[in-house]
Amino acid sequence: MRSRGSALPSVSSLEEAAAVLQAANNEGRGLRIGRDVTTDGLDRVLEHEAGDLTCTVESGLRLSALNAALALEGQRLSLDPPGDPTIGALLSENVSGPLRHRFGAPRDLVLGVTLVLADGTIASAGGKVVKNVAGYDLSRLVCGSRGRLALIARASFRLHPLPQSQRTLVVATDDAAETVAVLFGSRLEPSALDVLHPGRVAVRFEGSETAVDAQVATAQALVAGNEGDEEIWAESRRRQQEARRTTRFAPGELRDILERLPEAVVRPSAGVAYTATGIQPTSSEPQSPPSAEALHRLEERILRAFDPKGTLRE
Amino acid sequence: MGIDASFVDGLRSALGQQHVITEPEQLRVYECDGLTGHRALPQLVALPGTTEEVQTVVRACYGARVPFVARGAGTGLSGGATPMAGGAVISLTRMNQILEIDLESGRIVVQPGVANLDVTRAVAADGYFYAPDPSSQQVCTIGGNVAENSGGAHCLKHGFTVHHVTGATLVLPEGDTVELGGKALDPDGMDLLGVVVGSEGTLGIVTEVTLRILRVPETVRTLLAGFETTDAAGAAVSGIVSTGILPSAIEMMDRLTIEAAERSTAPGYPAGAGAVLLVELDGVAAQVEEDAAEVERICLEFGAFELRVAADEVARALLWKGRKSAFAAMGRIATDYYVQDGVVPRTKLPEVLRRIEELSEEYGLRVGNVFHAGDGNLHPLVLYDSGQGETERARELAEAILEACLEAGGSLTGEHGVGMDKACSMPRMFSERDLAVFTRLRDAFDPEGLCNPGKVVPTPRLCGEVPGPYRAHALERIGVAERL
Amino acid sequence: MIPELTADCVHCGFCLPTCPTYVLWSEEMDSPRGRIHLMDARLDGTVALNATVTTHFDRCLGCMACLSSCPSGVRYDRLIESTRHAVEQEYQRPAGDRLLRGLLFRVLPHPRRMRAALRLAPLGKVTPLPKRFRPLVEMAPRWRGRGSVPQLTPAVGARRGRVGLLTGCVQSAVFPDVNRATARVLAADGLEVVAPPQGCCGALSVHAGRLDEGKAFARELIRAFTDVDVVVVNSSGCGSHLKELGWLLGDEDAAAFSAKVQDVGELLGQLGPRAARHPLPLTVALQDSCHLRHAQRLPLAALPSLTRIPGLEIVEPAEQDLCCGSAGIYNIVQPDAARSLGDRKAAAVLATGASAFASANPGCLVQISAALRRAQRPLPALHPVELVDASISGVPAGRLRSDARR
Repeated sequence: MRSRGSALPSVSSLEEAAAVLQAANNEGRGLRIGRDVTTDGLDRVLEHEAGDLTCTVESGLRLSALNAALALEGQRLSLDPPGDPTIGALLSENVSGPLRHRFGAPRDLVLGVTLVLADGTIASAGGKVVKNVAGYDLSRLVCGSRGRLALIARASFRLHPLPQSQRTLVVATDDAAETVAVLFGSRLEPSALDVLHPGRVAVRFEGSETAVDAQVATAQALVAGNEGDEEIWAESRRRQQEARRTTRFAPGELRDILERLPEAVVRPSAGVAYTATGIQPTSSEPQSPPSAEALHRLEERILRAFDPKGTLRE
Repeated sequence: MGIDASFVDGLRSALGQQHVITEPEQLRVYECDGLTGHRALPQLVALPGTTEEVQTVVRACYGARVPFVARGAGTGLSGGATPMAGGAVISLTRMNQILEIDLESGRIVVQPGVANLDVTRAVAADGYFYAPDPSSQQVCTIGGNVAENSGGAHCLKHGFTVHHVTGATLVLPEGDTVELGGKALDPDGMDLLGVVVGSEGTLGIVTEVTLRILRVPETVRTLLAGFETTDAAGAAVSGIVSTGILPSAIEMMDRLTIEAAERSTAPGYPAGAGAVLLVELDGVAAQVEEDAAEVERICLEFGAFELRVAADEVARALLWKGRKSAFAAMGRIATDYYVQDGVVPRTKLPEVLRRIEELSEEYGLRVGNVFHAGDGNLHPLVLYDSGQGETERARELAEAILEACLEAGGSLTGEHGVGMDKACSMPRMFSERDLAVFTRLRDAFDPEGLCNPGKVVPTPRLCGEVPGPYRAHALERIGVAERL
Repeated sequence: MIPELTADCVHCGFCLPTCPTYVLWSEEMDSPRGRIHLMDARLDGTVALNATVTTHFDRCLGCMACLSSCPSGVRYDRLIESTRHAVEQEYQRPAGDRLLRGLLFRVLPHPRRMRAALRLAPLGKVTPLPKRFRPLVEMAPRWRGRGSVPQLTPAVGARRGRVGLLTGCVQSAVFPDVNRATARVLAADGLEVVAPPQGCCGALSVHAGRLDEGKAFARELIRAFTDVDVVVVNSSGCGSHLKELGWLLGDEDAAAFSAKVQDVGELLGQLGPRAARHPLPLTVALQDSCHLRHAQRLPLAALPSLTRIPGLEIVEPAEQDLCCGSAGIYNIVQPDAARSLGDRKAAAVLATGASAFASANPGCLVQISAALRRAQRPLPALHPVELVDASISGVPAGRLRSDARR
């Protein structure tokens, strides 16, 4: 077991992870993954099948390190969340950035996982091929589970080629909802589209140089705007990270949401708004209380099934 | 306990007399789905019309400990909707309404009995479509698609059902209802929707589904390439995939399936071809044009001797016609066939296709290949004659092909599901520990084991006590040698 | 014969959404796949031909939409015909049912009795009738067909061929004008048209499982037609049946006869027009009969002949593949399902906004007219060949509409 200059136990193999979890479980000790135990030692790219656009990695690897390795073959994992999370954190928070618009969240790109359960059970689900429906998709289930179901030790992902070219268009506007509606109504295929509320809409196009130029020209004809750069995406991610509240809405209600919020970074296709203020906007999709209760009971039951003693904590 | 007169009366008064079926002759037609090899006679079929009625039926079954299975159009190819003998079938075919079309959000809310193609039909006039397109799309239902996480030819670019379901109302096996997701994406907490989609109807019954609909692409380009051998065509697929071009579909047919298609629908594929590739690109015009040129170049580089580009919608339909009718067309060159559904890494396509050819010779049975090459999803069609006593040999050959897929690091099913057909093969891909964790999850949803039992996870009753040949999961095998 | 035919079904379910009764009730046993499953179970002896099973065979309209949608080429038409024959042979129907069916087949195939029955129909409205018989009154058309077609209509100008016209039983009783229009149009385009004395072709009987009766009618009919190049049919249910006689009767004469059978729309489509077509400014909803569209595989068979008419606009109602519910004697013996389908078809026809509708089958004309009457929006009901006839004769659109049956 390596400790890397910190007092935290850091596991570096499946077996070590199993031992650490099992010990805590037997002793009735609570464990927070990423805090009481880290996966920093599990930091290898186990396989990168460049020809297949897939990879299998250990969960302590940082996203930046993974993408640096993939870039050697001209590929990337198309996720750009704020910060530089480990693969394990990326999955357990199911966190995404502007590229969510085109490529989805971690749950959309993960193909398989190897988990270590609180009792030390090592189990895998999914696979390493891009198409697979065998067994329950635990690789999706753990997405957003905040470390309470199991320790994620390994994961396989679907990859994309690095774009040959990319350009950003920034549209300054009083009516962001209209700009977004026009872009959605077009046949353009942006890879990112954020509203930096109030006042700006950022759109990114990726692909071959001629195709990107053509898309930018079409977009400008529709919604005007000026050439932007990485800075606006950095701002978007920064504001997302600093946000104190996440609001979800039906994408068609964008105008309403913008009217209610003084400021936000909004990802319209996902129906998500990140706000720094703690303003409580009314949810567009209220749950009926009996259903919410049943959902809570179900989640508790799943947690107990994976971790009967409640060893893993958030 | 069990289905008795008061059970039936209770359901009849809740659902209406005619929506509860108990006549033995009528029950007969529900004994199997699209996979007729597995049959069992249910004791009752209920046809609820609302979420509340589904709840009523599920609660009644739970109370009387009656196993139940939800059923859509019954087109599945893994026996996922095969009833339990003496159990109940909950047919969702009456729940076939489109509840809401929200173009501004790019969402549509439907009942589970709506046919896949009817979703696209409902929004086509507005320039939208629903992306997952299983070949049975005119009949298979959204409920079934959700259960199986259905794919289709165009999921290579656009993703599977799981990527297009944003919300669902789920009736749990004990009868409670939960709302998962909604029109917004990525709700807080564990991704329950992600695990329910593809759970083959074992975690509950979906009674309302919110789907993503997409804008119809600006341009679609379809090309057909003829090759001398499947080897060459397979290499071209790997070539296309590894350049990073993402066609919406790459389909392959081999000599045998081309022959069958020509006899059935006469699509006029290149004469003498040992394999054809059907490649479709969609998206913004400038990108599609560039990618199409690159695809053509790669095909020629790998030895394509003929290239055709569909100039219009009519020509495109003709190119697809042979592909879409391929399974059924096999009936014209063989008395019986079994459709296998395995997946291999795309880089291993030529290798695995060669292996299938060897196996075909070894077993003395013909195997046709027609499949989604772009994502490595093989559909070998094992041709046999049950009248000649070849059934068992065909089954063994199909198993051997699956084994070859798993050897290559693939999967035992890409889109047809595990169902009843492959439950006993699961230990070939998953360890006992993996399967035990699956069971933990299932028990959390369904403590009494009443919701579509006998599917997905092997049971001793079904498969015997003898465990399959142990093999560590593909993810666990990676890097092991390095560590030792 | 049947076991091989049922074995062709691979249970894919592609027929389900195209089957009218599945569309109505969403139940497997009222789908083609379910019915084939039951036929199979009957053959292996695990299901008997009892009331339950018979009900599901009886509910089949025989529209053959499943023939069009089946990728495996299952011959459902032959399957259901022989199954219905087995039902008639082996199953004892309830007395009322037997009475109704017996009555129908003593009247329908005989034009003179049919005309008499139609004259009596209005009495049914003032006489209390058992429920089972009420559809007879409801379906009875309001119009009176008069006259008949000449035995010989010479070709106008040089003779291009000699065709025999099937005058039909219901057709000649209810739509003699359609027969006359057919003869006029064909003659105007250069064909000599003979209409020999003839009886019923047997289609209604065969489609209802009365195989021996139907075969006898058919054999009789074949003898009536000698020395013609084409047997032209303007009633698509009869046409489907006649095209199958080679198989049904299993002899060479019948096969030779079948090979000569053509629908009038099919024939006109192939035959270059000779007579001038005058403008007919009218919008007409063309409803495809199932026997043309699915059984004969001739979707929109009349269209080529109609597009040659200046000013005529043809529109298609939605759900063109779905049966209107007429289906031979179906609207009499299965009135509830027939009414639902008829109302649905009437709504689709009305939604086109057309000022008339056309169909190449007498049953469809009767059925849709009845549904439009129920909706209180009757429309002129025309056979497509009547539009061609009106165009050749220069009948103004207004007069065609006002004179038309509805």
